[in-house]
Amino acid sequence: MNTLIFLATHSLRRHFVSTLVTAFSAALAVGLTMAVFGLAAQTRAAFMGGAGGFDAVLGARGSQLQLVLNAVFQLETSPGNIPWSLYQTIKNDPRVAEAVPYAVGDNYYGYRILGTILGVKDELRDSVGKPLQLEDGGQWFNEENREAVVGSVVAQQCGLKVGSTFRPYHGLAFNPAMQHEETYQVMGVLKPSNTPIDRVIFIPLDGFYRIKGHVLRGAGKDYVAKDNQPIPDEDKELSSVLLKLKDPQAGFNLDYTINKQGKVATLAWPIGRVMADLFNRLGWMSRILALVAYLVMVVAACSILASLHNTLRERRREFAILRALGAKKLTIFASVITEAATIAGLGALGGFVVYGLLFVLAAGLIRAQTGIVVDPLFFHPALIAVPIGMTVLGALAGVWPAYQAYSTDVAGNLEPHS
Amino acid sequence: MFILDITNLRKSFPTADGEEKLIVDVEQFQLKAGTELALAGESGSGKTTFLHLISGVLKPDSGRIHLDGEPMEALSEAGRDRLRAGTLGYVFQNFNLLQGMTALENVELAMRFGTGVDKERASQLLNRMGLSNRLHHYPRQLSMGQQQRVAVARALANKPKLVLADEPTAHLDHVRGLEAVTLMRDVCKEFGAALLMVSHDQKILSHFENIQYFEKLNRALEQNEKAVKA
Repeated sequence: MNTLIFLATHSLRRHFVSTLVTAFSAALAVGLTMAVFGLAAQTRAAFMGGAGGFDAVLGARGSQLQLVLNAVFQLETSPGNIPWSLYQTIKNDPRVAEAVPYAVGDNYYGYRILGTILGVKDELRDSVGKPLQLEDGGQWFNEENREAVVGSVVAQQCGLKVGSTFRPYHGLAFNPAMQHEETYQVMGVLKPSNTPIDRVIFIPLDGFYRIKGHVLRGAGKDYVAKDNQPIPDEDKELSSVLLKLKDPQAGFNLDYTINKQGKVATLAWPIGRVMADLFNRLGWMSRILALVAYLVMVVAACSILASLHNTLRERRREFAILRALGAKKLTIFASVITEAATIAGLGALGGFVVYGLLFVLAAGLIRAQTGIVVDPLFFHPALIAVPIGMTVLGALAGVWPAYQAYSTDVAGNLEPHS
Repeated sequence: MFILDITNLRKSFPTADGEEKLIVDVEQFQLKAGTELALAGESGSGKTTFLHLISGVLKPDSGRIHLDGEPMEALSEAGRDRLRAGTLGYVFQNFNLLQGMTALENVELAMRFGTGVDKERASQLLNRMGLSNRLHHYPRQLSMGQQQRVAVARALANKPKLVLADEPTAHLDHVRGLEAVTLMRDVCKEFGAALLMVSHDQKILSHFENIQYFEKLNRALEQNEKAVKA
C-alpha cells in the first residue's frame, strides 16, 4: 500500500498542474452535487417548517398555495380578501386556539407592511420555535397610534431603528410615486428570527384601515375610514387569518367544513403539507438538477481519465523501468488506480470548499428573497455519499489508463536495442 | 555453483514483412556466482535482448534460463518479477532513473520491490558511490557520471546476486566511463554480486580478464547471414 501511495503521489507531484486542474474539476462537480442535494433538502425543510408557529391559514377562496405563500412567506399576492365576520367566526370556533388577522397592501421599499393585532407578538415563532423577541430598547406598537415594529432585515436594509419614522408606499411592489401621507414611528426592532418575518413591518390593523387611499369593501360597497369614528365591523376586510388549532383533528374538521362544504373561503392546512405539495410538484426540477450534477461528476471522471491517458505516452518508459526493477503488473495497475482515486479524493475534499462557497451564496440569495435562513451545519447524506461516489467514480475512470499501463511492453519501452 | 545457466535460448521478433527474425540463439551460457564477465559485441547483435531474456523482461521462444537455480520458464510472470527484484540488479544504457525522484528515492524505489525500504542502507550505497552530497538531487541536477553511479547504487539496492550492465559507459567519455566501470566492478565484488556487462567499447573491455564475444555466442547472427546469402 505504501508503495502504491508513494508511486501515486510521486506521479501527481510530477504532473502537478494537470493534477490540480483535474482535481479542481472534480471539486466543482462534488461541490455542485452536494449543493444541489443539500440546498434542496434545506430549502424544503426551511419552507415546510417555516410557518412561524401557525398551523393553518384562512383566506379568500382560491389556491391554498397562494394563500400560504402570501400570508406566511410574504411572496405572493393575496388571492383576495375575506370579511371581518369570517375572522370573528373562526376566532370564536372552539377548534381554534388562536387567530391572528393580517391585512396587506402596502410596502416600504418593497418590504411588506402587515396590518395586524397586538396579539401577534405572542403567537409568532422564530425558526427554532421560540417566541419573537425585540432588540433592547424596543416595544410593541400601541394599537391606537401610528407605530410600527420592523423585522431585522428591514431594519438593516432600510436603516430603521427605534424612533425612526417612515411613510408607507401603496401596493406590494415599491413605487416611489405611491407614497402615503401617514408617518409611522418605529417602536421596536425584532431580533433575527431566520423566518420571513424578518422582512416584514407590523403596524396596527386599525391604523392600516385608516391610511388614506385604503378602501374597505367588507360589506360589498366601498367604505373609507373617517377620522375619530370607529370603523364598522361589516366594512372591515382581511387578507388572511393565521390560525393555531387546538389539535390535528380540528384541522381535519375545519378542512372539511371550509374547503369541502363551504364556498366562501379557503383553509390552507397543514401549512407544511401545502409547501410539501409545492416541492413535490417542483420535484421534476430537482431531479433535472440532480441529473445535471451527476453528469458534471461523470464529466469530472472523464477529465481524470483524459488527464491520465494523456500522460501515459510519456510514462510508458517509467512503467517499463518500474517493471524492470521488479514491480508486478498488478502494482502498476493499482498505482494508476490509486492515482485516479487520489485525484478524485482531492477533488472530493476541495468539493467541501466549493459546497461551502455555493452554500453561502445560495443562503444569501434565499435569505434576501424569502427571509428564510438555511443552516450551514445542516447534514445531508449527500455530504458523505457524493465525495465517496466521486472517489469511486475517479477510481473507475482510472481503470482504462491503468490497464494500458498494466499492458506496457517492458522491453520495448526501456531503451533502444543494441 | 552457477548464478546463471542458459541452454538453447532462442528469441525471434516479427519483422515488418511479417516474417520472424531470429535475434538470439544461444546454445550454452554459464556464469559462476560472484564472478564477472564482459560480453563484447557490436550494436544490433542482440546483446540487450539477451539481457532482457535473462532478466525475465522478455520471454524466450524456447530454451532454459536458470537464475540462481530457479528455472525461469517454469515461473509465472509474477514469479519472474519477484525473482528479478530479489536476485538481479540492472544498470541500463540510459540509466533509466525516474526523473521525478531524487537519487535517494530512486534507490529506495528499487528496494520497495525487493528487500523493503531501508533509508540508511540506500544512503550508505550512495555514499559508497561518492554521492553523499547528492542524495536529494534530481537526475537533471546530476552529471551523466553521477547519474550512472546512482543507477549502479539502485542496481545493488536489493543485495542482488547478479548485476546486469548494458553498455553502462555509452554516455560517458572514456575517462569517466572507466572510472564508472571500475567503481561498479569494485562494489559488485564488495557485495559478492556477479557482474555481466555488455559493451562494444574495446578500451573498457580491455580491462576485463573474462571477455566473451557475443557474435560467437549468438548463433542467430550466423544463421541470419546464411539466410541473406541464400
